[in-house]
Parts: sequence; structure tokens; C-alpha cells
Amino acid sequence: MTNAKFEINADALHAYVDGQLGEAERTLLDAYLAAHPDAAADVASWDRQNQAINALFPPLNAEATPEALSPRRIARGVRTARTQLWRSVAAALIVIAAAGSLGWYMRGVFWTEEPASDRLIDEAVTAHALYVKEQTHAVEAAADSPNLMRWLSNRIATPIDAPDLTAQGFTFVGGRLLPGDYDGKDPSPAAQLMYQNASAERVTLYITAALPDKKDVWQFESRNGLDAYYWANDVVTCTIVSDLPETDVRGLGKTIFEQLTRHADSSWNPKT
Amino acid sequence: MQNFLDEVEACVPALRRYARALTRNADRADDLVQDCLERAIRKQALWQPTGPLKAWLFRILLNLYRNELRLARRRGDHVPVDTLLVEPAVAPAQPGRIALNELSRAIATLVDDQREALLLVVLEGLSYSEAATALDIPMGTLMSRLGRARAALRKLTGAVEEPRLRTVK
Repeated sequence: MTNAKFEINADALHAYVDGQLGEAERTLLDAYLAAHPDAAADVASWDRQNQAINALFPPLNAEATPEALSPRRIARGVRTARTQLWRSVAAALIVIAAAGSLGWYMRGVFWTEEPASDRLIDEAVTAHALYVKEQTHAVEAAADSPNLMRWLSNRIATPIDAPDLTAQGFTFVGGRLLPGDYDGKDPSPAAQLMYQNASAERVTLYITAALPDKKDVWQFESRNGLDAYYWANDVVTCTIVSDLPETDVRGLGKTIFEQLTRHADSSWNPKT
Repeated sequence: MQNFLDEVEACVPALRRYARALTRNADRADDLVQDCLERAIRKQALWQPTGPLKAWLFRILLNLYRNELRLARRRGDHVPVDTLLVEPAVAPAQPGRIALNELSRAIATLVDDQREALLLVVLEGLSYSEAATALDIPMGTLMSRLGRARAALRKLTGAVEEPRLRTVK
């Protein structure tokens, strides 16, 4: 209220009461109040109010400030809280990162992709069930077709000969080309070879090129009442399907393995 | 930082007194001041060293108080004024003709805006411009609230005041 152009109005009277005026202005107002009893009465009344209010709410200077209201103490608390906040944030980030990595690591557990062997066995069993019922069209090309095995070898990009199972009583009927989808992505070709014995029992071999991992796998499964004996190595995968007794199928497996892979007997090492 | 904390500390008694006058409850007042100090220290970076620290602190206190009031009203909390009345422990020096309990009740009946403005100016001796800053209102608004508050108090406590000489302008 120390304006250059000081005007005596209600605001100035309030400022006078509240001690907001400079020396010169106060002198001016003193003179004004002496001449204006109405204004003087206002000012006196407000002054009494001020005194009463101050008496009603006395200053606390004498009263000790509680420790809880010490700015230093509060500042320490704020710093601690901040540190803790950062720690919590850091901890949360670590937990999130750990959970993420664990989830990625465990993805194989919770989202198991169907193993290649299961897919190939499925397809071998399905194809077997489909074609063994056929009498006239059981195979696409009969055993005596020229170039049958060269054609199939070319298509599955792996040289194979039809194993000779005459010692087990089976004769080679012929073969056909089928899809051989081991990873659910690009179907690659598979060769199905069919054999038959004197009692018209049939065995099919479902053969694909070696899988990218070229791992040795032996797997014996029963599906839909059929036995499927799957094995894989660095040359081919072969699934033998038939409804013969398990021991017969296992016996066939060894002969077929030796002939198809041209591996010595010693590498025949089924765990199942 | 040390400087800032020292300056804040110097304002604590004034903040407590004002908070008591607003809330009429010493515990609530101190809680309010504690919140205010915490917020001020947390937001220290927002305070411009050129501005008056005291006004800034009062502004924070007032915002907290108003929020609390709003919440309490929404919840429908209802606290009888008389039970909260903080009577001075020692009888004060003769404060003129205004009876303190009557004044207390009169202040309680003031509109919030007017009470906040009047108490801030009268109790804390803030300059008008600081008070306007603290209340977050223009100077003209402050002056009119002050004028209305004083007129209302005069009317409310008039019975005990000296015989009426004139009307309020």
C-alpha cells in the first residue's frame, strides 16, 4: 500500500489498521481520521477486531515446536522415502525382467511345440490307416515300376532303397509320395513304402529326409490301435506302422534301420 | 538446502498458529502443517527463491486445508464448533469490548474465503500482496474479502460493542 498515488479510501483504512502503510501515508491518514469521525470509528472497530483475533489465537512462539514439525526431520523422511521409492522401482524392474526372462526360458514348458517325431508319427499312422485298406490302389507306383525308388529318393532329397524284408515274410508292394510336415510350417515330402506278408498283413514305412537337428531318436507308440515305431538319425526318419504285435514291429525296425541308413548294427541303439 | 530448511523452520510457528485459527483444533492443525511442510520440502524445486517463501508455504497450507474441508463436507463430517473451540489457557489482556467466545463463533460463521483472508492478514501480518499470493487471488479480491469479513464480524459482535454510532459503509 505504498503506491505513488496514495488515495484515502476504504482500502487505505484497512491498510492503516493492518500496519501496511509507510510513515508518510500514516501521517496523512492520522490527519484524515481526526477530521472524519465515521472513518475513525470504523478504524477503531477494526482495530479492536484485530486485537481480539490476536488474543483468540495467540502466537505460538513460546510453545515448543513438536519434533514431527521439524523441517530437517521431514526432509530426512522425504529423502528416505525417495530412496525407498527408487529402490522399489529398481526392485520392480528386476522382478519384471526376471519374470520376463523366466517366462521366455519356460516357454517350452507352457507352450510346448509338438515335437517333430509326434507330427511325423501322426502323419505316418494316418496315411497307413488310409491306404492299407486299398486293394487295387494301395500304392501310387508298384514295386516293379521303373525308377520308383529313384523318384522317391529325389523327392525326399535322400537316397533310399526299399528295404528287403523277405526274411521276415514281407514283400514290397510299392510306394507313394506324401506330405511330410514335421514342424507345421513348410510341408516337405515323405515317401511311404508298403509291404505285405502271406496273410495279407501290411506294414508301411513312412520315410523323410533327416530332420535339421539330425538327432538320434527312437520312439514306440500305439495310436488308434496301430503300433508306430519311429526312429530318426542323421540320414532319415522312418516310422514303421502296422497292427502286428509289438515284438514283430521292433524286430522289423532293426532290419529296416540297417538297410535304410547303411549304418552298422552297433548304431542300432533304441532306448524305447 | 540448509538455508531453505532454516527459512522454512522460521515459518513453522506462524503456520501452526494460522492452521489452528482455521481448524480450531490443535491436533488437526499440526497434522495440516506437517503435510504442508512435507509437500513444501518435496516440491522445493518449484519454489522460486526470489518469491516470498512464507507466502508460498501459506499457499500450500491453504490448498491442503481446502482439500480437507471439501472432503470432509463431501463425507458429511459435521463437527460442532463449540467442542473444537480453542480457548486461550490464560485470559488475554483486555481485548476491548469484544467477547472472545462471541468473536470465535462469529469467525466460524464467516464465509470460508473471508475467514481465510482475514485471519491471514490479521494473525500473520503478511503484506497484502503476500496474502493475495498465498490465497491465490488478486489484490482487489483480497481487499473486498477483508472489507466484507470485517463488516460481518462487526455486525455479529455488535451487541457487545460500544453503542452503535453509525452504519457500516
